[in-house]
Amino acid sequence: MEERTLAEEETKTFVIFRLRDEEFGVDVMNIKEIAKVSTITRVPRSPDFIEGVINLRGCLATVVNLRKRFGFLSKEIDSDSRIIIAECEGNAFGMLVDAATEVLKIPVSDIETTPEMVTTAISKVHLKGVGKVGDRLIILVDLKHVLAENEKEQEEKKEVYK
Amino acid sequence: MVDVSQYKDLFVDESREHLQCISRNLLTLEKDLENTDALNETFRAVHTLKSMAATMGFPEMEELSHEMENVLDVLRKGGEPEEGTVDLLFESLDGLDTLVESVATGETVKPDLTSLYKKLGNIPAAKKEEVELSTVAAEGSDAGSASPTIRVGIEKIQALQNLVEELSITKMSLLQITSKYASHELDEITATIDRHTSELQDRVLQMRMFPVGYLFDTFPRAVRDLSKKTGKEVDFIVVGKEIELDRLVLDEINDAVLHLLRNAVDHGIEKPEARKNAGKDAKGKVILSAIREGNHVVVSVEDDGKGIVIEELKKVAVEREIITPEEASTMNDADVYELLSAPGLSTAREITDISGRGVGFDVVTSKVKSLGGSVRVTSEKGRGTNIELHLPLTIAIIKALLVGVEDERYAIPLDSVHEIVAVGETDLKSVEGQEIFGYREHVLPLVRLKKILDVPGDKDSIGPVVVVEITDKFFGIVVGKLLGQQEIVVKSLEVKDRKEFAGATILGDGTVALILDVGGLVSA
Repeated sequence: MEERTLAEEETKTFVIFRLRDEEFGVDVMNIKEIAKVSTITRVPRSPDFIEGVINLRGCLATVVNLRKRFGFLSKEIDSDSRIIIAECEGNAFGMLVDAATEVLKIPVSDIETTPEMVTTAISKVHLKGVGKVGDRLIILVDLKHVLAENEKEQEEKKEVYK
Repeated sequence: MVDVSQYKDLFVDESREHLQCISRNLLTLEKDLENTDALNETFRAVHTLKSMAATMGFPEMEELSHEMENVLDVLRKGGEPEEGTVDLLFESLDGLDTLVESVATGETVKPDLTSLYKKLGNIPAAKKEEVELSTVAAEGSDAGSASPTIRVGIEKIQALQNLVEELSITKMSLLQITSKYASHELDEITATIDRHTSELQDRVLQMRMFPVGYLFDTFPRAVRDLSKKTGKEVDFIVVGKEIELDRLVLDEINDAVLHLLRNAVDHGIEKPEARKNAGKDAKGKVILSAIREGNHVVVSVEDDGKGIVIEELKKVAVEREIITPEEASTMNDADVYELLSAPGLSTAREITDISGRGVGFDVVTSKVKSLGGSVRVTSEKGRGTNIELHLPLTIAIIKALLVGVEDERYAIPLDSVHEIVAVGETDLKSVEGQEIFGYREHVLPLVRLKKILDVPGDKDSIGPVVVVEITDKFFGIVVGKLLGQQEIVVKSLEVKDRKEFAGATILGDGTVALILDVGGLVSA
């Protein structure tokens, strides 16, 4: 074990962003770019967490308000706000976050896939795991569930609450 | 061996074209075996397929086309055609088709062709010698006198088009900035850019256009097989092959048109006996046509069969609880035809394996609507049915009316805009919660865009009313203000199941405006 150097250790690279005072990460392989917030066009009658659509250099991208998606209180867009453009199963979409902070390599061995220990209000379906970096805990987001799948789930939930 | 896998797509594409060509010519041969042009063309296509298959390393295809070639050669050399030769050729064609599709999908399932080979072997060959290639090659080069073409994948054209769209959006911003400066020089140069960009846009759009014949040529075979299977005699006429449509629209309507043709043969056209009894020609007629109508192409499927019996349609709809008996008694014909689009309605008495499973026409309607088109049905009992698909020329660019509601902007496709009128609050009435207004001699329902789309803001005075028409029905949409008319580039909206919107577009200032789907808006 001692012979193993850091360079040899398998790592994954994540884009780290902030929502409230928690840190989140998404696999950099799924990220196309990080954009400043431009004019977002509202899409009437769409689910609450859909912030709208933006013009991404001639293409359209749906923007998900990640705070609303995760059930947090929403917050005014400010100069730190960013839209992280991700590509998932061929669809480009944006995630509105409080701030995009850094790009971080996390050794695979430091990623916990059973996030029992996490104390966050987020439904577990959105999570892929938790990365430990020093004393920081980075919540790793599963993109697949952010846009597509749970739109249905969300609708169903509403039905139940009725 | 050279790795040919990279040419697979090209091979499949070209093979399909050759198969289509063979199919077309075999149909001609079926009627007239003496037609040497058709025979030679078939022979050339089969021969090319054989060489292509050999190059690519598909021995089954090579062998089957070789056998076909032998049979064709007998005919070419004036050999006496045996009973069922053309049918056998059709069968071989199907075999080839299966093989090509298995290449396309990468599946290794090979069709069992042993019985086919046996039949093919029974056709006595004129001479066992290999066909002289030189003559074939010479004939082949005669046919290729048209200007040279290159094959470009649609995704490359799409990428080019995206760039051009972006360029034209940038151009619009440039024009806006230019108008702030009174510089003659600047005006001149931007005018040139403007002109070139527009032309570029037209040219790129033109590249996507394809004659409908490309699609139509695949149908005679299907109609032929179907009429044989159902024991009906059908004269299939194709009109307007040269009309051009966006390649993507063409691909999208394939299944819809095929479905309509199946319906026409299976349900429309009667059996020869029944036709004679009704005093009609024993041979039924099915006409597939394409006509350009302004900004639209109308593809219609017409038959001279038994027509749609309104009463029967109503009865089935009531049975299936799509309408109530009260509704049935008050409906007019146009409304009844609209029932055809209701999911789960089929008047086919017996379920055949061809059609009549109750899926179908509703799929046709929704497909056409999703392309921004509409469907019109006319029918006369005992005389036949005509179904028209009104399709947009292209799904990429449309003319639209831009309207503002509070601080938001929306585009309404100009195709559905009938007129714009001014209406005062006093002209409005309310009937059972539905706002209505008087328009000419009619009373039209009214929807307020602000209300229906929950637009935030408080400037709630009544603005202009856009009278829209959707499949012969009119209604008024109250908007905030009119912003003008312009050509917009339609982009699909990823947010799912938003039937109120047909897509979105990027305006000159770079912001996104949603395009209203007028039909979806009222049904929402």
